[in-house]
Amino acid sequence: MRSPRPVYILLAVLPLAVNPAAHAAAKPPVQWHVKTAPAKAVKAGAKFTVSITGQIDSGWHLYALEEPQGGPVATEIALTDGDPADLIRVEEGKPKVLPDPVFQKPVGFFEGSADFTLHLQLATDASPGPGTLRVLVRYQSCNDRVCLPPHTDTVTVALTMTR
Amino acid sequence: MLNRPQRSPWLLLCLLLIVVPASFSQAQASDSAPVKKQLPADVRAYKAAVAVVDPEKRLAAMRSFVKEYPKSRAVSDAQDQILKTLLDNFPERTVEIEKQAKLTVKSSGKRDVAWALAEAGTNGVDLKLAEKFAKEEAAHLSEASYDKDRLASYVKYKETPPKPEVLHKGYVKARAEALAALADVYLHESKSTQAAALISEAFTLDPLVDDVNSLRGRLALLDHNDGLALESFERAQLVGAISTADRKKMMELYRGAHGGSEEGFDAEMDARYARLFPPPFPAGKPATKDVHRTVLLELFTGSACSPCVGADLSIDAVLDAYPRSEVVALAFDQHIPDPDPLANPDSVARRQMYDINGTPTFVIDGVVQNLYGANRDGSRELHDKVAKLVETYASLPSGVELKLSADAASGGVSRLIHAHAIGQLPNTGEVAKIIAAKPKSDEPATAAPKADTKAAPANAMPAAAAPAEPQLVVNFALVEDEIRYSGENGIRFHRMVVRSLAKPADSGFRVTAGDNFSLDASFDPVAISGALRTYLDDYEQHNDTFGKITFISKDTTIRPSHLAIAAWVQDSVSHRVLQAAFIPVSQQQKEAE
Repeated sequence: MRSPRPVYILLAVLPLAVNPAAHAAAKPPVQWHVKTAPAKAVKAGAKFTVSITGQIDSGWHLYALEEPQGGPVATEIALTDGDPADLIRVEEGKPKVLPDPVFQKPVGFFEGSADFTLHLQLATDASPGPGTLRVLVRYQSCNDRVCLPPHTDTVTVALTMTR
Repeated sequence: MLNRPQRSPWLLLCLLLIVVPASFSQAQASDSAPVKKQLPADVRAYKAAVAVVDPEKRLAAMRSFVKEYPKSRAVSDAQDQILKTLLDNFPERTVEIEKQAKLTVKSSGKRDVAWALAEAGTNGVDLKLAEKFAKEEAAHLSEASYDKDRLASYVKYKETPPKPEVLHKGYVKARAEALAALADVYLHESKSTQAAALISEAFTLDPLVDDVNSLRGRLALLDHNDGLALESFERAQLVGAISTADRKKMMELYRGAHGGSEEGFDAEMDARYARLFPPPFPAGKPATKDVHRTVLLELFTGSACSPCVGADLSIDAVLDAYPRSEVVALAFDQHIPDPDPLANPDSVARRQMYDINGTPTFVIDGVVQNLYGANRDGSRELHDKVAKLVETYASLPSGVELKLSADAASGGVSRLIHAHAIGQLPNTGEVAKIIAAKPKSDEPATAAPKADTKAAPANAMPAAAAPAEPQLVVNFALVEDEIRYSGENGIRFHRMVVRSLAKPADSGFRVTAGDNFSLDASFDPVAISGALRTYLDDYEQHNDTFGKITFISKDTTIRPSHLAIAAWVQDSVSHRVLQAAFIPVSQQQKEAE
């Protein structure tokens, strides 16, 4: 059973009022911010979490971290190589899962907003003092009316590191 | 991890004493420059396991991954990979395969696992289990159960459920696929009578499922009906994909039926495609009121872009309904959302000139339109909007005369194409008025939104914003009137594809208001084809969006008999186009026009 032609969003449930500004303007359809980050200094080698939230423009969906083969491109969350932490795993909020009318497969997606929690471990050799993590969020923006190029946003997270 | 420079002990002490709470300050940057990324540990481990070449070691790596990261989202992919590795390399390990198949069913479903078992090895593996899975799937799948499952999801998420006809369409496809999976098992078990009944039922339900058509072809081969087998394999390829073995058989059959030659294969597939996917609506031209100019309709599209299907089809209908003296339509392919081998540096630069981000985007006479794409079913509605806009722009005054001629130089290898444009421009004041002329405000879909309208495309030019001093340019495009390429969105024929521009996309030959002009441009199709190939080769290795990629095809052959030249007069400040012209290069095309 093959699905040779990926078609990227196909959900018939999309609101009709897609914001045309998201079509031609440079503004990406998802705006990211840090929801939670360690309030206290993080010790070298310690485990901690960071949560980020994406505010999704009306009419757009953000795909989940896992999608079926041949379906839409899943959202990918990573850390910038060289940041002073190890990304252990990423959790996502509960996506809506609805059948894709073309592939008859369930597709996971978020509307309105999406939360992701990054489980991290600070590098054992992290230098004490203020530091920054650069979270990379790569996602595909297509709905049933328009496609945007694949997009990577960088969300910077400030934290303090200690021994 | 970065080896950060060591700080002095004093500074370190100070930092330790002052525990500064982390601020949540954050910034979001959209950066297209490639950045090395660190994926989550489970994703890294899964990718490392997939990369193991030796099948026995890969199995071990996958199993170790599943054990180490039992909660990872990649576990279901890993289970699939374990089954695939076993079936591809160790079909004799039936006990292991049975155990793995039962595990894989949980994530992939019975139908897919049944199909995988039936297609494995020389004649399937553990067909008994495959039959059991396929039968259970087929028995479970009734329209009532399908609808109940689907509608429950929509209720759960408080979403509007699909219309009954959409649900029904989904059901018949799912049912056809389920029957195909069982028929596949039966064929491998030499139960061709049972298989034939299922294949017939599946084909009646949905004749556009690739697997159903492949099986129909295989069954026809058993019945020594080579004609039906060939037709079925061809259909399978056109509606989706076929296995390597089926494709090989298809070509064998084709050669057998055509004196050992494959020469006419593409043409036969073209004709079959046309029958399978006829134009979704008859092309019709609205009653033209006033035509004062030839409209330039630019479509920024992508062969991997689903909503571009409706846009492409709407342009096809415009091309069929209007003569080129009224509308010149050009397609500028983009690498959106995925790499597109019909894109080229000029098509990308033209999009950048208009500051367009997405596909499909329509630009009429230099004005970005508030139009969206659609699927095949929505192409008629989209076409009607485009046609109305074309009519509106055609009724605007032009005042610019533009005559175009083109010929291919005979002799030599290159066959240079020479284009010649002559014209006459009104004076500066007149040009400013023409540029400032706006489409009638009662037209609903025109791009003359209020400047402060939030919904307006950022680059849609308010009609009153004509520059005080227009800077007119003329540019030429080398156009291929039809290219055969089956991309991800299923469109097989791409019309009026711009292969190259005479001058950079944001410029042209400068011409002066109030003057006559006479301009020449030449194109070397052989050199352009070579440059396109180099561009695609380079793009596969280096691009700032996708990383390393492989195009579905890199055929940059430019067919001389399909070439045409387009030219237009444009104000390089406001981007408004004042006049356009189009001329085929070959005599045959000229006569057809």
